[in-house]
Amino acid sequence: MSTTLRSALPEAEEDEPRDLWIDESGSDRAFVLGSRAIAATVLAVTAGIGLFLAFSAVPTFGRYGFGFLTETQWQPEADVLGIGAVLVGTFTIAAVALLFAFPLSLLTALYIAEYAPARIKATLVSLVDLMAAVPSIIYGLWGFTLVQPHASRFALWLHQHLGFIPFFRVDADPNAAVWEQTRYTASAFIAGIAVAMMVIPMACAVMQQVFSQAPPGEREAAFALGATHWGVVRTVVLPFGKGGIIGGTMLGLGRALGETIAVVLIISPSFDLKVKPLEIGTNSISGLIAGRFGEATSLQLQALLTAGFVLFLITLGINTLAAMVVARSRSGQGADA
Amino acid sequence: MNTSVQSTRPRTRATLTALVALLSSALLITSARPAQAAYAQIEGSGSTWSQGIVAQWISDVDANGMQIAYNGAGSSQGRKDFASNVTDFGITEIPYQGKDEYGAVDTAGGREFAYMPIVAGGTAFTYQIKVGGKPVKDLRLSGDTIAKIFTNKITNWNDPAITKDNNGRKLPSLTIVPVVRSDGSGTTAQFTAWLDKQFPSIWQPYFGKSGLTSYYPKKSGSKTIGAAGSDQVMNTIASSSGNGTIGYVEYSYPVNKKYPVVKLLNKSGYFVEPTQYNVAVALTKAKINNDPASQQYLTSILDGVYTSTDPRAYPLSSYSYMLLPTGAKDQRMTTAKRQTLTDFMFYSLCQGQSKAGPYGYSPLPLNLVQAGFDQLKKLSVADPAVDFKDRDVTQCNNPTFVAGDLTKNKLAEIAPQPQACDKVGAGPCGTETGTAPTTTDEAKNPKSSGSSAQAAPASGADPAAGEAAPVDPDTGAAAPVAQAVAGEGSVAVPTELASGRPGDAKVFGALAVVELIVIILAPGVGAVYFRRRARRRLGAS
Amino acid sequence: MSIDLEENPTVATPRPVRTSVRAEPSSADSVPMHERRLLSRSTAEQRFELIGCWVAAVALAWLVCGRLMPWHGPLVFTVVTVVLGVVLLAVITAVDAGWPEVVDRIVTTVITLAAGLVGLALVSTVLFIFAKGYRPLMHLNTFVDDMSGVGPRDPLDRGGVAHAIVGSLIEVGIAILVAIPLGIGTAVYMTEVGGRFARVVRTVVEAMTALPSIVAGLFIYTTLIVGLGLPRSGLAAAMALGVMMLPIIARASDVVLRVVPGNLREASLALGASRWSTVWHIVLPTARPGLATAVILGVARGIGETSPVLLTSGAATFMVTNPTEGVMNSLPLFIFSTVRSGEPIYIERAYGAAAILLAIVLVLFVTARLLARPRKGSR
Repeated sequence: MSTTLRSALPEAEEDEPRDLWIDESGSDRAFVLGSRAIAATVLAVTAGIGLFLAFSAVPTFGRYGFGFLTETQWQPEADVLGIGAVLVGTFTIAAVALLFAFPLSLLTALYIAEYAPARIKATLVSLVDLMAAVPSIIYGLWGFTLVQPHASRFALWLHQHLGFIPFFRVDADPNAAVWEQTRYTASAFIAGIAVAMMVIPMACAVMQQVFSQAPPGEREAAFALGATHWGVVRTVVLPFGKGGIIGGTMLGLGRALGETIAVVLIISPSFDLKVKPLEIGTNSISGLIAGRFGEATSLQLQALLTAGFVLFLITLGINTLAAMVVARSRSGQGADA
Repeated sequence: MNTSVQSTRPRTRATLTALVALLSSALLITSARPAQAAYAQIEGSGSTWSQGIVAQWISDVDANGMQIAYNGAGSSQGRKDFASNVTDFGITEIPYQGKDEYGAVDTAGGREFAYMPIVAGGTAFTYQIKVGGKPVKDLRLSGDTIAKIFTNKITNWNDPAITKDNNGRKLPSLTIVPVVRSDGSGTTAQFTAWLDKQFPSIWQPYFGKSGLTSYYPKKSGSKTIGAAGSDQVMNTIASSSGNGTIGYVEYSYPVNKKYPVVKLLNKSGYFVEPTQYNVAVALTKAKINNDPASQQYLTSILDGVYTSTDPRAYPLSSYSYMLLPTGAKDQRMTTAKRQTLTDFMFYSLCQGQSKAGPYGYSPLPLNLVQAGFDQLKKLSVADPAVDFKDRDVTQCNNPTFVAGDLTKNKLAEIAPQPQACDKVGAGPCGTETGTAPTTTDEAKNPKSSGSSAQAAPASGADPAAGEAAPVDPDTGAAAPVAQAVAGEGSVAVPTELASGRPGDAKVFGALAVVELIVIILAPGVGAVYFRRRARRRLGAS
Repeated sequence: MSIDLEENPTVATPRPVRTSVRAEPSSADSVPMHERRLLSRSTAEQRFELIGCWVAAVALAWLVCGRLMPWHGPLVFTVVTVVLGVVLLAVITAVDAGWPEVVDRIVTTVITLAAGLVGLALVSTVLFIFAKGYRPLMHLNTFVDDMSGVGPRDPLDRGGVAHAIVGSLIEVGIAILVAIPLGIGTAVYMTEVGGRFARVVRTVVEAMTALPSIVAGLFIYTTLIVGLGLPRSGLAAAMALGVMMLPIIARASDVVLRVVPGNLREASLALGASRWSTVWHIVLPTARPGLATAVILGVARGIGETSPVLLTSGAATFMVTNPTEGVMNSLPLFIFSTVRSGEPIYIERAYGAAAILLAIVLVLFVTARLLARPRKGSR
C-alpha cells in the first residue's frame, strides 16, 4: 500500500462501462412487461380516482361557482351547498389535534431517542408503531366515552379562566348555578383529542427516526465541551432534526384532516362558521360525507365528491410539502418519511 | 408468502394451515344454519322514527328463516336508496316530495312502488331537566310554547310561558337546549309540517318560507344542537351532560330509555301523552287518500289530526310508510325476495301490530291494514310465483279490530279519558310520563300516581317523581296550601338563591394560592439568591 | 472498487495527528485514580430531591385544588401537581447547581412526563376497551353466533359477532388479494425496472396515499353502487378497502425494496442470473421481512378502517359468507352502529367487538414484528 503504486494507477485503466442489459432473455422481457402492466393498472386505478374526483368537481363549481368554498350552509332542500363551515371545522379539529400532538410527539420522540434506557428503546419504538396500528374507531370510543366527561370539565375550566381569549369562549355562562355541560361536549376540542391519538404515533415515528440519526460526532463534541444533556439536544439534535420535526408534524396533519369515524362519533354536526373549539357543534369534510352521502341526489353526490376532492388536494399539498421539507433538510438524506 | 425461501417454508405451511382451519371453521358455522330455500335476504333503509318496531319485527321473523337487514338512516336516505335501487324496500314518514322549486328531485326515479302504512305513532318531545339532582318527569307544554322553544324564542326553562303551561309551577333558571335532527329526517318533516300548519306565524318567519322540511333549519348562534338519527337525539338528551335538553323523537325512544315525555296540549284543552290510545284516537281524524289509482294512495293528510277536538287526541300523531317495489321487472327483486317481503309484512301487519303498544307505537286501524294487504298483494301480482295464500285480514290478531266493523278502531273506543288534572288550569298530575301503559287499566290509573289520580294528590305520594315536600324554604315551616299545590310533583323551585358575588371566591382563592406558593418557595429562592450574590462578590474581590 | 483506491491516500494523511492525540492519555496515567463516576445514574441525593419534590407537589396540589380554589376533578389535580412539581424541582436544583443544570433537570422531567402521558394514553385505550368489553367475551356465543333474531334487550348469552368477524376477514381477504400483488408488483416495477414511466407511477402512487379513506369509500359508492347499480356488498367494501390500501402497500414496499443493498443485485447479475431471477431469488427474499411488515401493517389499517365500509357494505345482522350476495357486516361497522344505539346491552356488545378487533390488530402487529425480527434495522 505504498503511495507510489497508487499514483500510477489512474493512467493505466481507461475502459468504458459495459452495457449490462444487452440481451434480455424471454423471462426478463416477460418480467419487465408484466411488472409494467401491473404498474400501469395501478396507475390507471389511482390516477382514475384522482381524475374522477377532479371531473366531479367541474359540474359542482359550474353550478355553485367558487362560492361553494365559502358558503357555510349545506341545505340540500334549498339547493344551497357549500363547504365553508366544514372546512373551518376540519381545520379547527386538526389544529386542536396538533396542539396536543405536536408537543407530545416531539417530547416522546426525544425521550425515545435520547433519554430512554437503551434496553427498552426497541420496545418503545414498537409501542409507537402499535399505537399507529390501533383502529381509529377504538380511539373514537376512547374519546367519546372515557375522555369526553373529563375534557368537557377541562373545557369549562379553560372557559372560566381563559374566557377572555376568544379562542376559549363558549356561548354559555361559565359561572351559572347549573353548569350547562351540554355546551362543552361533542366539540372540536374533544374530537381533536381523539384525533391527536392518531397523529402522535405518525409524527413521533418520523421525529424519532430523525433524532436517532443525529451525527454522533457532534453529539460527543458537545458533551466533551461540557454541555448538559439538554444542551446537546438543543444545539445538536433539534437543529439536525428540524426537517423531521416539521415533516412529521405535517404528515400527522394530513392524517388529522382526513380522519372520519372518531370525529363522527364525537361531534354534534353543525354548519356554523365559528372558531370556538370548546363549544358543541362542528363538522369536518369527512364527517359531512359520512353524514350526507346516503340521502344525496346525484348532484349533491357530486358536491360531496368535490368536497372530498378539496380535502384530498389539501392533504396532498400538505404531504408533498412535508416530503419536500424532510428531503431538503440535513437529516432527511436517508430517511424515507 | 410466495417470496419465501427454503428456510421459512415450515412457517409458511403453518400459516397456511391456520388459515385453512380458520376458513373451514367459518364455513362450518354458516353451514350449521338451516337452509331456507323459499326466502332470500332482503335489505331496506330509512326512517329511524319506526326503527324500534321494525327491528323487533325483523328479529321476530328471523326464527322463520327470513333474513332482513334494516338500516335506520333517516327517511330521506330511505327514499333516496329506494329510488336508486340500492335497497329492496324503504321506510319513510312522508311521501316522495316530487320536485321542489329549486329543482332538487325527490322522486322514486322511475321505480314502480306503492306506499303501505306499517305503523302509527306519536312524535314525542323528550327532555332532561334536573332540579336538585332529580329529574323532572311531568312537564306539560302547549304547542305554542313548543314552537317557540324550537324557534329559539323561549330560551330558558323558567320562562313564564312554560310556568303557565305547568299551572304556575316554576322550573329553575336553566338554558333550553333544543336537540334537532341533523340528517334528512321524516320526524323533522312531520314536526315542521305541524308547526307550519298550526303555528305559521312562529314557524314561517324562522324558516324563511312556508311548508315542511326534512332538514331542520338551525340558526347559528342559537343554542340548538343537531344529532344524526333519532337514537343520537335520544342519546344526547339522555347523556350525563344533557341537562336542559329537549328533542323530538318517536314515543318508543323515551319509553325504551325510561325518559319522560312532554304532555302536549290538544285542542280541547287537555295535556296528553302519545300513548297508543291517544295516537289511535287522533288518527281517526286523518284523511287517508283512498283512491287506489292515485300515486299517493294511502298517504294521509294530518290537518284533522292536529285540530282533533277529542280530549284524548295527541296532536302530533302520524303514520309511517313502507315503499314496496311493485314493478314486475324490478331489477333487484326476485321471487324469493318478494316472498320474504310478503311474509315479513304479513307478520308485521297482523301479529306484529300487537307489539306496537308496548313498544311505544300505536297499531294500525283495520281499514289501513286491509288497504295495506291490497298493496302487499301487488307483489304477487307482479310475480305470480309469490305465494299469497292464507294471507289476509281474517288471519290477523290486531288489537284495533272491532269484529264486523271495518271502519271502527277498537283502541280508539276503549281509550281512557284524560284525567281532570291534565286539563288547562288544573293539576299538574305529578305522574310519570314515558311509561307506555299497555293496558287500559294502567292507562286509567297510572301505577305511579299512588292512591288517587285527582287534581291534587297527597303530597309525598310519588317519591319516584322526585317530589319536593311543600315546606317553606326560608322558615322551614309547612308552606301554605296555595304554595303546596304549586310545589307539587317534581318541579319545585320556590326560591332561587342568588349565588353572591361569584368572583369573590375565585379572587381570594387565587390570592391564597399565590401566597402559599410564595411562602413555600421563598426559602429556596432566597438561598439561591444569596448564594449567587456571595459568589459574585467573591469573584469581584 | 475505484472508490477504494481514491480514498486510501486520504486515510493515510491523518496519521501524525492520531499519534499526537494518543500521547495525551498516556500522560494522564500518572494522575491519581478517581472513582469512576457513572454518567447515566443519578446520585442518592438527586433521587431524594426528586421524590421529595413530587411528594410536596402532590400535597400542595391537594391543598390548592381541594381547599383554596374551586377546581375539582383528577385532571386539574394532575395538571396542578405537574406544574408545582416542576417549579419545586427547579428551585431545589437551583440551590446547589447552576442555570444550565436547572434547565436540564426541568426539561428531562417534562420530556419523561410527556412520554409517560403518551404511554398512559395508549395503555388507557387498550385497558379501557378490554375493561368495558370483557363481559361479552366471557360468553362463547359471542364468537360463534350472529345477531339474527337477537333483540336489543336480549342478554349477552344470546347472539354474537361471528358474522362481523367473518365479514371483516372476507372483506380484508379480498382487499389483500387485490392490493398485495398489485402493490408489490408496482413497487418491484418502480425499483427494479425504473425509467420515466416508473417515476410517473411513483409520483401518482405517493400522491394517492394522501387519499382520505372516506373519499375512497365515496368513490366506490358513487361508481359501483350508484353508478353501476351493484348492491351494497362485501365485495364493494373490499374494493373500497383495496383502493385505500393499494397506494399504502405499494409505497411501503417501494421503500422496503429500495433499501435492499445494490451490491446483492449486482452480485447476482454478475453471476449471470437474469433480472427476473435476481428479483425473485435475491431482492424479494432479502426484503421479505420488510415486505411482510408493510403488508401486515396495511392489513391492520384495513381491518380497522370504518369509513369506507360504512358507505359500501351495508350492515347485516346475520352471517353472510358470499361477498357478492348482499349486505355484509364487519367489526368496525358493527361497533359503530351498535355503540350509537343507546341500548346498554348493545353498547356492551360493541365494546366486546372492539376488544376482539383490538386483539386481532395486536396479533397482526406482533406477527409483523416477529417476521421483521431476523433483520433488525431493515424496517
